[in-house]
Amino acid sequence: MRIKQFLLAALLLFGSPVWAINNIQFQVETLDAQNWQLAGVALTLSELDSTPIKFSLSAKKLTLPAPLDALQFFAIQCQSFIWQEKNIRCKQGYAQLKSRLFGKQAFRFTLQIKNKRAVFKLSHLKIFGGNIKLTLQEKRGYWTAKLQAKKINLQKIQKFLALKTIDSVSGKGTVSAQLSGSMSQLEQAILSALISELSIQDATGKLASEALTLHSELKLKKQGKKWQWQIEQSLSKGAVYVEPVYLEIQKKQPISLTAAGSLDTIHKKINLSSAQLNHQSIAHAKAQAVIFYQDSLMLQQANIQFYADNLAAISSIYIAPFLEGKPFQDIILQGSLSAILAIENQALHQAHLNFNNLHVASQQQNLSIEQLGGTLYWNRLWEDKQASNLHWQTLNIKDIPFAATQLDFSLAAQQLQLLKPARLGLLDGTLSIEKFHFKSNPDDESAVTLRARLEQLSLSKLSEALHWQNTLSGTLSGYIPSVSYQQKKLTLEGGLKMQLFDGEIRISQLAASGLLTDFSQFYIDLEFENLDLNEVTKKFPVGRIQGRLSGFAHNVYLENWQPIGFYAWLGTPEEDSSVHKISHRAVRNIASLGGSSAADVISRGVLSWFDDFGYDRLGIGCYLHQGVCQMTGASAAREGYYLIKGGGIPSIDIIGFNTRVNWTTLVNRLKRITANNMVVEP
Amino acid sequence: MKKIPLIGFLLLTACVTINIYFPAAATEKVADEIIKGIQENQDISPQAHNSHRSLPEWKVSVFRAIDTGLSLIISSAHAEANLSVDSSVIRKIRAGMKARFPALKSYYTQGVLGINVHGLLSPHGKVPLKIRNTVNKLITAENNDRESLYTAIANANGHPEWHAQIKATFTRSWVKHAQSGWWYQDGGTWVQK
Repeated sequence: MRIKQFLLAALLLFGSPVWAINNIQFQVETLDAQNWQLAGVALTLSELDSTPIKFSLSAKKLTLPAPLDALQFFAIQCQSFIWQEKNIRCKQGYAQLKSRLFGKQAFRFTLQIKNKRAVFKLSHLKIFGGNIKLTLQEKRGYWTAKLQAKKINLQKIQKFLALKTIDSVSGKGTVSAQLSGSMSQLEQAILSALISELSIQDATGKLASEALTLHSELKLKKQGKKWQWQIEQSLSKGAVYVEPVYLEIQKKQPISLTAAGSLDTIHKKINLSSAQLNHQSIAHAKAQAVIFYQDSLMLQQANIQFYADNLAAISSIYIAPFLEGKPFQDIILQGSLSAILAIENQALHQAHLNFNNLHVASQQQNLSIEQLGGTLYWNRLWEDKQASNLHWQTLNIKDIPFAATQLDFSLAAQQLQLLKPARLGLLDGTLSIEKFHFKSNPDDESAVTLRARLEQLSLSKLSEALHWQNTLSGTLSGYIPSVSYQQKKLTLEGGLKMQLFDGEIRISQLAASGLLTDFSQFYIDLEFENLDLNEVTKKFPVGRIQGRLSGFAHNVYLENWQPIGFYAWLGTPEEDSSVHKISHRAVRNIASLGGSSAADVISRGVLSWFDDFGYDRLGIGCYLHQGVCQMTGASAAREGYYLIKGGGIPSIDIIGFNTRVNWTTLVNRLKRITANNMVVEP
Repeated sequence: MKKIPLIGFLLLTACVTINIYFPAAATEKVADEIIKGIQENQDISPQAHNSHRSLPEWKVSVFRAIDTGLSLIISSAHAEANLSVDSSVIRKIRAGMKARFPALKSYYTQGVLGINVHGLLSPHGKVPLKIRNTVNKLITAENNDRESLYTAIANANGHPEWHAQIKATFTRSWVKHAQSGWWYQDGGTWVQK
């Protein structure tokens, strides 16, 4: 080594002084060795008359070989320098570091090379606002390195790195690393980081944190051609946002992840032998997986066991964000569930969910389920399906209660099929679902097969459940042989029959879309047959009328349950032989519907002597289009239409002259009639 | 040489092309009405629009036919059509926007979102993490609805090419109807009303 030879020569020349010399200094312009260079070297020997002689060494610049050439050391000084055989020691070193990465920084160091063991210690290095300590040891080719960086300012790191993917970052970090290896090979590493008050936001705004405390530890050990690794991470404080999930980490409910496995750098494979994710008192999960990272990450296989201890917290933290803006965004789940998921080639292959005593509620959709339990098996392949079931103690949909029951079905691929007919107790009657099969086609219309029967549902119970002002009596039955689902519109074939008011109302052409949205559309055709008007007018107080009523409402179209269009007519059936009588009040109200007042006519003169009037026919019709009702009556009159065509003694005719009536006006008149039970003025 | 009768000559020169120009005034009126309906809890059912009822479909068709058929003939005249805003699709979009408005209003007031230069919503400043997902979802849904509304109005009037003009008109109206304290962009700079 050139420096050693130079120093020996210098010592020989000046080793035997004949006069008293206290200090000797040697200066060398440059010293080169193996791609490193020490420039402006000065070795000073002082207090030559004492033992041992004091050495001090200084150098203007040290340039290291690549890749360390980015670091340049200046003003290197060693106040206490010992050079003995097999022992070189610098106890009080001081130097300045200059690099593109760290700027210009001063630090202290010590160096000892003794018995083929070299120890280099660096301290007081201020980088990114933090304090760096480094210890390097080397003996016979085996080396260790310990690094400790305290209170690193993350904002300064970002300012220096100027990462475009990060919008802003702040916080402090303490990092320690212990590395060991042989020659140029790393064999073991333990990295530990404690990040506090971490507030970060990426450029997209989809990933962010506020005052987060994160502790992370990574252990790596080379075994043969593979690396064994172990990770421990914990979040104990602060808030984190990973779109769409926002999580406030409570001190009592930290989140921790521990994982271990191996890394095969030759085959670019990560084997996750065990992973445990624990959100204290809320949920925990275990997983095993095999991941390849050739060009991108590829999850070849994974098994995940998930246990939700507190579904209420899970639904509000982890589920609700995904439902934001969707029909069940306010859903509340309470209880616990377990799930096992199997993933193959990046796709979910199997899922098994088990739950019991769940409480489900959505105020927005007016839904509640108590003691919901079940076992759900899902498989990616329909042929590998297994039986699933759901059961509940109480189920309320739109305040309509369904009795406790169990549904058995298969759930696989994108299909759901009822395994056996289900009978659901409903409004003192039954809903029998004989067949149900749903098949979703992402690229095409979904296919629905349904055969169902409604038997003797109580209309009074229905009125009660739906909080109708007028409680109906009678029953509702029907048969739905099939349904179709096209362009998000569900259409029911077949029909329903209501035995009501001693007559019958038949419902057909039922269709609906967007029932769970802000804009529901509903389509229906109605046929009214031989209803007893006496019964009808008892429930809807428009005034007493005796007789029968038949008619229809075709192409009824409702938006948000408000009629937009229909063609309807209700009136006295042909060849009706029942008693036809109508009261004063009914006459006035019917007249007011047509927009005229009969009050004056019938409350004065002879007509006021009678309580009831006879009629031959009554009828009212409306073709609703663009908010206007085109009115018709029982039959045509000279300048209008008969709402009531008189017959018998005394008889009265009511003729409507307004053929076009604003629908809102008409509805308001109807509302006032039924609400106040009074005659309305036009 | 065959002579053209005088009356025929007069008829030829008297022919006009009726171009249906973008009804700027009607659109502005409609935009004001729709935005008011969304923000002020007004009824959006068809019967509530009798006073501004749309041009009937047959009239639109006739105008379109006239426009196409006479476009080859010599002189031209300008006609400004009314604007139809009464269709099931438009009512559906308006119902969605109306249902969303109370939530949006709260965030307008908090200043975490505002109206950008395109008349769409954008986050304003750093949205607190706790409400960021909700705000982002609302912004996405509202912006989708606004674009769909302009398309639906343009389509309902048989002029899909009006979309940009309708959007520009609505952009001005959104700012006009912004309440005190709300943020909007004026030439790319955020301004508080």
